[in-house]
Amino acid sequence: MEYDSLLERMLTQETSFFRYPAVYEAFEKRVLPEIHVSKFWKNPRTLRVWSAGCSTGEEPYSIAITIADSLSFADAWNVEILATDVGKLALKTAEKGNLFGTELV
Amino acid sequence: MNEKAARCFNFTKVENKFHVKPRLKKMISFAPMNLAAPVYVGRMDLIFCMNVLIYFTEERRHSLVQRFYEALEPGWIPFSGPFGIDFEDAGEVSGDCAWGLHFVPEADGAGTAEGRTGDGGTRVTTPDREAVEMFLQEAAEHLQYLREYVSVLQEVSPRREDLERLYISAHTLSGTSGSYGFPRFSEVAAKLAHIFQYALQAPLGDDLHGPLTEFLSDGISLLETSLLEISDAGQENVEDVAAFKERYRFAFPPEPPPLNLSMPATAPLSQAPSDYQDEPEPVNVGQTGSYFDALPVDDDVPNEILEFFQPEAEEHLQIVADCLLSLEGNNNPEEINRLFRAIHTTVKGSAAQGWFAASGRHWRIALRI
Repeated sequence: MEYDSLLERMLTQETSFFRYPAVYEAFEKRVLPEIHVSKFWKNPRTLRVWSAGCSTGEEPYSIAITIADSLSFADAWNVEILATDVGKLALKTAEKGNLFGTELV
Repeated sequence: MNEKAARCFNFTKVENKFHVKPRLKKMISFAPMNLAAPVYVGRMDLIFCMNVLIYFTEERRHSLVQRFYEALEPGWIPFSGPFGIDFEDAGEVSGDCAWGLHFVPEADGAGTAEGRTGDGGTRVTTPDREAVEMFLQEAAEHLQYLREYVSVLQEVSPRREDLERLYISAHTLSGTSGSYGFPRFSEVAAKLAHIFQYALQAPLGDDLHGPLTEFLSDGISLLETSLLEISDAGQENVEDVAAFKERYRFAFPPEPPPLNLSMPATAPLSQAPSDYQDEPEPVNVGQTGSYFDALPVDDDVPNEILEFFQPEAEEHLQIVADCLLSLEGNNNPEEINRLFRAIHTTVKGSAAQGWFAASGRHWRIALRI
């Protein structure tokens, strides 16, 4: 649709994995341990994260790998990450989750 | 590209492509959404919103941040990233912003926790002595088991069967003590069961081991003295349990205090839709402050509920009958297991819903054959 593609182009979709490392650092070192302690007694043990404006998916995937890596107990949790974006094309790319070899190295 | 990012992917040489690991993909659901239009997303623990607010007008920005706030678990406060945003002046955000939101439990919420368990040691029911004797004997056996085997949690990779038996022991203790009218005993046992259930799913991290080992050991001691008390006086020791809960506050988190959100003054309360007035009154918790006081009597069950309950209960009873018959012939552990499940499901289901509390007790007694 015209409108969508215009919108798509207007929104700068500059994004990358672990953009703003400080945020992820704080997320991993401070936030997750605290969640671990405070939610340990909850049943079911659910962790819901919203990535608002996820663009092509780098952000939610970065969040997911941070959770999976730093929660030794990740298997005991229901992790639900809701990733939303207004750009449908970007979402499609995000959902596919593929990258060509050159892009990553 | 850093190596952390590379860990998100599996690489296939043929296509020269990186694929996101399915494990990560499973966690994420993608949905198109225009943040300018309010959509219900449910409760969130954490919100990431980077490089988005700058595209919004001040007014929109403010309302979006307000929505973020409302979506977060109540009782928690925001955590902001490098470009901190104070919710008070969210409208004044300018430039590039990157932040996450994070909840922190309120420091003090002790008042609410007290209200939940009710006051005084009033017993919920007056179970007859014979039934209590049975409970005491069974509870003593379970406690002994817990005491002997709790150390398996310390092992590097505990055997699943051991953990399962620990869980079943603690869970049974919690269930039976609750139905015999010892809610404090039940609450502590439930916490123990919770830990074993957790350990069944994932290894306990090092950060948990220290406090948990102590908690478990103290918890079992507390249950042991409580059981003696119940045996002697027929009542729980209220002070000991309170002291225990005070000591291990981390295991008895207070209910989060209600969210005190300064809503933009749009609709005064008096204009609330009239539907709200039809909402049922909160269940009146009676004088003992016990959950059981709010239960309807056995005959007072709506038909539409019976419709679901009856066939299922009949089926379970049939299984119970079958198993009992076959148990007369041989002592097959599998049959006992089936029997346990059939009884447990119905009893727990019915008791939890508040119906047939009495029949629930009878069946529990039947379980002890």
